[in-house]
Amino acid sequence: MMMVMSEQIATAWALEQAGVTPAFLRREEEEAAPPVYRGDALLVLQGVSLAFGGVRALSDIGFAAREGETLAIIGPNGAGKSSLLNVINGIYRPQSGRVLFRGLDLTGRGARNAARAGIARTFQNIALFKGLSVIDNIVTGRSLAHRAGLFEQILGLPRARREEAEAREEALRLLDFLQLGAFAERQVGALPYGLQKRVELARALAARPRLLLLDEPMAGMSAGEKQDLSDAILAAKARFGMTVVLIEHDIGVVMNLSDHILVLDYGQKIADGTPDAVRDDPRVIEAYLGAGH
Amino acid sequence: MTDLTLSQPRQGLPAWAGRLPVALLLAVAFGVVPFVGDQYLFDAILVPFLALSLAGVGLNLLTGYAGQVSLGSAAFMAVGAFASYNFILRIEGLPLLAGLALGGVTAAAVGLVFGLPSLRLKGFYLAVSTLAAQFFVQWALTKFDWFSNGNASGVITAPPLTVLGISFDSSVGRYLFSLIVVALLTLAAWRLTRSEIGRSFIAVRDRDVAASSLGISVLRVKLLAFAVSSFIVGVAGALWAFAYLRTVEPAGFDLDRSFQILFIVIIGGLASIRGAFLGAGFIVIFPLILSRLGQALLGDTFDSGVLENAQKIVVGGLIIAFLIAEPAGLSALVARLTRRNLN
Repeated sequence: MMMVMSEQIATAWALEQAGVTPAFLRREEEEAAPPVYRGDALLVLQGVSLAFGGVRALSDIGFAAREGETLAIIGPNGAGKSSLLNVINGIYRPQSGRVLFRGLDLTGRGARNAARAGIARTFQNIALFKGLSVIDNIVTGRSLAHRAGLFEQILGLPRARREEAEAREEALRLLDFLQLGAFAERQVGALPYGLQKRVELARALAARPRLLLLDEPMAGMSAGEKQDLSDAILAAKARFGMTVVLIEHDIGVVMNLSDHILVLDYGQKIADGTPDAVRDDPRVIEAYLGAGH
Repeated sequence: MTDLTLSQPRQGLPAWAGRLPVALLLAVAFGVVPFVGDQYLFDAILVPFLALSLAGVGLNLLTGYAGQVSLGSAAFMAVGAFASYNFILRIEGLPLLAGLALGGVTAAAVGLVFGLPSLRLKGFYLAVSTLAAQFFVQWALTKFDWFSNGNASGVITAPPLTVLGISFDSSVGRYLFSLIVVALLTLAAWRLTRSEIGRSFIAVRDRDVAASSLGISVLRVKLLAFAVSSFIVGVAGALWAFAYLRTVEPAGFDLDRSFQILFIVIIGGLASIRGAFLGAGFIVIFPLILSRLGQALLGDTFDSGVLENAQKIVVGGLIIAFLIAEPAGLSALVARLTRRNLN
């Protein structure tokens, strides 16, 4: 648990640094600080607001995810769930607020830096590389582990060969783990939807992330497929020990998988707590369960 | 460019089986052709075919694999040719191959600069911005006669093709020289496409946001694609100038040439190394066959101008027919035919 200790210190440092937010990022009225887990928070968002032109996608979102937990983000369509995920992994830069991961301030530093810090993700509309086979997609998930340069790779020098072999072994393990072995050499675009979702999960896991973001991993799946994928996510957590933040509409899956639920509506956080607490929250019932179910 | 599904892993065959046709082709190209070919075959067909194939391989890395459309290929060819010429001219005792490599490096540097817009522009907009390279390079080479060692119209003459004391200054020599250079660089390009960097080219082409979410630097990948592609295209330009034309002026590397190489890549098949050779074969060799055939069959009835134009119409029609039959190019067509024969 040495890691956790040092991260606390780093988080504290990053929070202190944040006092010097440039004026153009500061909002007119300073918001009250959102609840922050003082214990083992891996991911902390503070006062995140995001707008596209005049449309507010997120208003003052703050929450923290503990190391090792599964946090579900739920809410009606258009509530800002995907935008929130895109802020976390640096695809969107929020107009205000901060994203702290392992004590690092990742706000607006781009997807690549988020990946380097240990965040991997899947996408709502599958974003696989159609020109690559299943196994090559997964191998690409290990891009960050490659150090060999252009000439080493072209000439097949030892380091390049070793890295390639390692990436391939890891991909084969993941294919096996997610029962994709039979499809290793298939073109990824030719696979059925459910399998593509699983390949995307394998690609994200190949990076060995500390935090895995899943954007509707089970959308459009049958009950059986959902069960399979839920099991796979739980097994992956048990095996790799990462923290998961997922967006999901199926409330049964959410209750089953998550330790912590965040409810968004119209870009605002309306509930944040354990599954039991959220389920009984009258605002949630009104905004989400009451409206949709 | 996001929906390309073109790389074709061979299924069910051992690795050596896929390489057998290439090994056979190389054996014939090195072991048979030099002994049976005549001067016309080498000078008018095979050498330009090889140089344009190599340019196609280079552009395919950029456009087919990395998804960045370029209309500046001829400019990078010109940079490769004129830079090699100057390095060899101005550095006493510089070996020819070192001159070619330095020409390639210069083309890579210029490619890098003209690749910068790709960081903000995509698709057609990027293609239009690469026209800047096309016009700028041609203008600079014509305007400043230093590049052509004081020749007022920018014409340069090939240095002697001598490597390690062996002269390649004959028809068959120029063919063998081109063949060696093209084979080596094609092998390097093929290795690249199968490496982690090659996969990151495809990743950036297919889904740049997903690629950066995996930690791939989209910026670095695009610039690397421009540099590597321009290096190969530059060396192809030097071959075009030194082994094929032997005297060349900047106008020989005009926009038409850029289009020709882009068509080679598209007709041959995007994201396919062999596609560049099939495309170049179609573009270079097919019109020659057609014009000979036309001359032989109809030469008595029509005058040569009419035949020349008719031949262009036929080639154009065939391009359309091919691309309707197989939008993924000749490479995919060949893959489909061989698979059918194997089954």
